Formats: sequence, structure tokens, C-alpha cells
Amino acid sequence: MTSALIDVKNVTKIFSISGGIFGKKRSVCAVDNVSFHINEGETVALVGESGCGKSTLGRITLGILQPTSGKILFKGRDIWRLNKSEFKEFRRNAQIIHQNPYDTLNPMKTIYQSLSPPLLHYKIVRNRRECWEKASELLEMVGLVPPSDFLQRYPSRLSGGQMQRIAIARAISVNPNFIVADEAVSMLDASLRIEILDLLLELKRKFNMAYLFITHDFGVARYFAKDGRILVMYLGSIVEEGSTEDVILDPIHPYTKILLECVPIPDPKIARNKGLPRLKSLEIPDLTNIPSGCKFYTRCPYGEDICSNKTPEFKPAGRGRFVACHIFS
Amino acid sequence: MWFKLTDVLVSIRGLTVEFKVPRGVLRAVDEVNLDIYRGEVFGLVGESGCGKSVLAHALIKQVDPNGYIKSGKVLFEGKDVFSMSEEELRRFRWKDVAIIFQGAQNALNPVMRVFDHMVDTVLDHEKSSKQNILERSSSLLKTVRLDADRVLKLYPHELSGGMKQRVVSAMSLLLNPKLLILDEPTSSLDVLTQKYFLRLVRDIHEKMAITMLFITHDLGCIAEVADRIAVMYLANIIEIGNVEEIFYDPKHPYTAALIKSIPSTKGSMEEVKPIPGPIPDPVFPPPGCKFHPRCQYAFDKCKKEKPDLIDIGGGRLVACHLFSKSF
Repeated sequence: MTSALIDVKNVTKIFSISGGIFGKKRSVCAVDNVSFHINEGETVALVGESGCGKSTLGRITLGILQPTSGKILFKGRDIWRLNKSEFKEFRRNAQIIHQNPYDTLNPMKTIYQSLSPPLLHYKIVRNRRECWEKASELLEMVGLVPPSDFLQRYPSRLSGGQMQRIAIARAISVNPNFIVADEAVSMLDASLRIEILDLLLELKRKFNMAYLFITHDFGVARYFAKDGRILVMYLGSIVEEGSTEDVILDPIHPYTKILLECVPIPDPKIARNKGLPRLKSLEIPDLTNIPSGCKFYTRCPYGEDICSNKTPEFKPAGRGRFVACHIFS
Repeated sequence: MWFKLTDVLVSIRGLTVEFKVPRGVLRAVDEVNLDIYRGEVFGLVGESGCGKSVLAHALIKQVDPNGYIKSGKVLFEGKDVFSMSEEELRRFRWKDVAIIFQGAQNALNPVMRVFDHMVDTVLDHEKSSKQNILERSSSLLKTVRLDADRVLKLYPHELSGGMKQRVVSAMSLLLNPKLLILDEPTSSLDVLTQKYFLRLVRDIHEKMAITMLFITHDLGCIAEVADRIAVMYLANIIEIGNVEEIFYDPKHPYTAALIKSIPSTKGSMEEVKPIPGPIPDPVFPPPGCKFHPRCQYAFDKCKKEKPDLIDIGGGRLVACHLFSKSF
């Protein structure tokens, strides 16, 4: 059995927040004992609402952030135990595409000046001429043609969609086998999203890349990870895992069920006939004061005594599915 | 719909709003004609930069400092908004028309309790007693499903995002406005809170029979709340119809393509298709029909002549040469 490409083992990340001059220092558990794996060439969507910890988890899998406890294994090896050159090789292999293309590119540099450093740093190319050729090749790969039109331009002259393509070009430029896409299409207009998602899927097929696709949008997750898996995250914990179609068409965890019921559907007959889900409360618990037991208990319409006392285990539920729930499993 | 489309509350004709930008002139609203009927929830949908927010603000004669209303007329119950005096305009805004804008909950004054916000809002516009304001705000907070006794005493920081949005909604209704404009009201809310808020919007509409203009880029939200929808593309209204017509029988190629380009959790993934091509620069839009470079049905006329928004029967309006009589 081949080991997974990325193995996340019991990862926890705690941030401390200063309470100001008079307040006490408080801590926020952004990622709470999370474990999952991603195989070579696989797409895993990590879905959850803002503040659930998915971005933090994404950064931890890339070695940008160090977990408070737990391990990240890349091809079986603990990334925080690698020596300098091995870690550099890992970082070449694991790239990120951010949400905001306007943040990704240095406005004072031309597109070429943004693309060339990693190509030279990781010795993908040997000299300036090869660098220019490779940069042109990359722009063609992401649909920016003719490349000569774009290489000398500054980001301010490009649209959001074009900049995101360049961010993708930069991510794939060093031949990674793992990419974390953190809300990579959320800031793009709806009509552009599918084009960018299709581009990412085409590149995945070409280079057999694995993706961790982070999003709050179930529709986008379903489209992108249609042949992959979905992880649903709530307040730092993974509450459900399974194949994309399984989780979306037949959710098990109450939070997943309710979340899917609340997603706005662009179809008036369906949208207007759905009743309101029975949530006990609309209020999300304060991150610095998360209740004991199941974190969803304060809002869950099915909660029972055991739910407020005991944290549910993340257990298999058949067919490659996992759920953390006392009532449904 | 339980109301008849005969009573026009707002009538917009030939509205054009422009902005001076370093590159040139940006026409954000381009000769828009629109009628909003009394009692309906009118949805204005379009992607970012299409001009929908600018249009809504221009309705109450509000434009950003570097912009200006180039031409056009807005009639509210027959009154010409653009020729109102400062005083008439002040009364018009908030008494006749209230607006809930994106991130409104962040505009609450942190050192004032909810009740003080209510008092301020009312006394700014009319004479009233604290008792009367207390009664009105309690009733409205109940309408937005908040515990009035508790919430009136709280400061904004003691409220969650969802609660703040409801408080702001209640405040907007205090003066019994005839039109409530909601500009991307759910964009900062999480999915669960958003769902409850959309239901709240429908509740308010049913209970108070208030006319609403709901602006959003989210087709899912508009499908849930709107009775009639106008679709905007690069400063132009390109289609108007009732909600079912727009979603199940879109006429304009952009409307049809937009709906098809949204992946959803229901339905087949096979039918999702992108709209090709980049969104044009609004300062230098394409000649003729602005959508023609991305339209699979474009023909010669589309490249030269901009199509008018015409009535194709049954209250449906489309701006597309495929439907013009001489086609």
C-alpha cells in the first residue's frame, strides 16, 4: 500500500490572543486534533464557514505555519524534521493559491519579475533566456495569450481573473505535486469561476497534482472535487468526511445537513419551498470559550445529554465515510 | 403575486451616472429605464462592477464624490427626486426610502445602546415621545424575531453579526418607509444566518407589505426573495421578468449563460458551463451590444448597434437584437 502524499496526524493549532491592557490572555483553538490524508493526484475539498479554521489548517499542511501539536507527513516524512535542503524541496512541491489575486502579486513588479524568482531559486531554469521561455510557456498554459502581451505588464493593468491565472502560473511553475487553493475563486465574478476551476482541473490532469481545495461554497466544492472527497469543518474540527457526491447528496452530520439546507439555490421553486432548518440557536459559540462536549451541541436540533458531556469521536460510517456525532453515525 | 402590477412606486427613465477616473470616464449606469411597482420585492442582480449599487444610490440622489448624475429622471410617487430641495431630499431619504447597505451593522455607534439608536433615528426625522418610540421599536424588533426587552438595552458589541443585521433592519423600518433598499445585505453573513435573514426579508414583506429593492450578485439569494428581477450587465439593464421566467426561461444570452455558470448543490454538474472571455473594461466597453464579444449568438448588428430594452409581451423586457422586430 502506497503511503499518502500528505498525511495530517492529530494536528492542533492554538493561538493566544492578548486581552489588552486589562484583559487576560485568552487562547483560541483554531484547529482541534485534525487527521486526514491526501493521496497523489487526489482532490480533497475542505468546506466550512468563515472562521472554522480551514485556512489555518491549509497553511499548516504546507509548512507555512507550525502546528502546536501533531504532525504533517509528506511522502511519509515529518516535514518539521526535514533538514534545510529537504524542507526546501518540500516547499517546492507544495504550493498555494490565495484568495485575493491583488495580494499575491507585487504591484511594483512586472509579471515576468513576479514569475522569475521561483524559477531561478529552484533551478527550474538555468539562465535568463530559459526563464523568459518558461514564463511564456506558463502564461500560455493558463490561457494568457500571447504571453508577450502580459510579461511586461504590471498587475494594475490586469483584471482579477487574469491575475488569478498568473497566481496559478506561479504556483505550477515549480512543478509541485500538491497545491492548496485557499478560496481561490471566491473573489472572482461568478461567470469567471468555472473557467478558472476548469483550468485548475486541466492542470491537475496534466501533471497529476493533488489539491486541497478550501472553500465555504458547497456548489464550487461539488464542481471541483466531483471525483474526490469532502471534509466538513466546524469550529476547528472535522465533523464529516466522504466522497463528494455522498456527502452532498446524503449528509450524515447534523451540521452538514443544515449547512446544505441553507445554501442558496439558484432555483426559485426549490429555494422558496424549503422550510427553515430547526436550529436551536443562531449564535456561534465564542471561539475563546468553546463549550465542552460536541461543539455543535448549542445549535443542534438533535442534541442529547451525552452530546454536551462527551466529545464525539471521528468514526468510520461505511463506504469511506467518517462522522463525529453521537446521534448519527 | 398577490398585488397587481398597476401601481408604479418608482419610475426611472434614462438614468446615466458617470465617474471620472484616471483612464477616462466610467459610465456606471447607462440610460437605465426601470419601474418598481408598489408592494413587490424587486431584485436587481448582476456581477461586481455592473452598476447595481450605483443605480440604487442614484435613486436617492446619492453619488460618490467623483461621480455625477449625467442625465435622467427618477420619479417617486410621481415626485421628481432630482429636483427636490435639500430639505425635501432629507425627508425623502429615510422616511420614504430607507436603505440597508452592505456592512450596515458596522455603522452602529459603539457607545450607544440599541434603544438610543432607535430614538436617534426617529427624532432625526419627526417629533415623537420616548414612549412612542419604545412601542414602535419593540414591535419592530419582534417582527425581526429579536427579544425586544433584552436587545433594546444592549450595546452593539454585545450583539452577534446576525443580530446586528436584524437591528439595522428594524431601524430601517422605524419611519414606515414606502421603499426599502437592501444592498448586498447578506454578503457578510455566514450561510446559516443568511438563510434566516432571507426568510426574515420575506416575513417583513408579507407582514408590512413594504416595497423592496433587493440588490445582490448571488443568484441563489435572489431566487429566494424576489418577485421580479432585473439583470444588469456593464451598466445596462439587459432583461426584466418575474423570478420564474428569469430562471426557467431566460431570454437574454447573458442571463441564460450566467445561470448556467453557477455550480450548485442540486442538479447535474454536467450542465455547468463557463461564460467565455474576459469582462470588458467598463471605461472602454465594446461597441454595439456590450455583451457581444462573449455571446455565442452574436451577429453583425450586435457589433454595431446597442440594443434597446424592449417589451416582448407579458411584462418581459429584453435588450437583445435576437428579439428586436427588424431581426
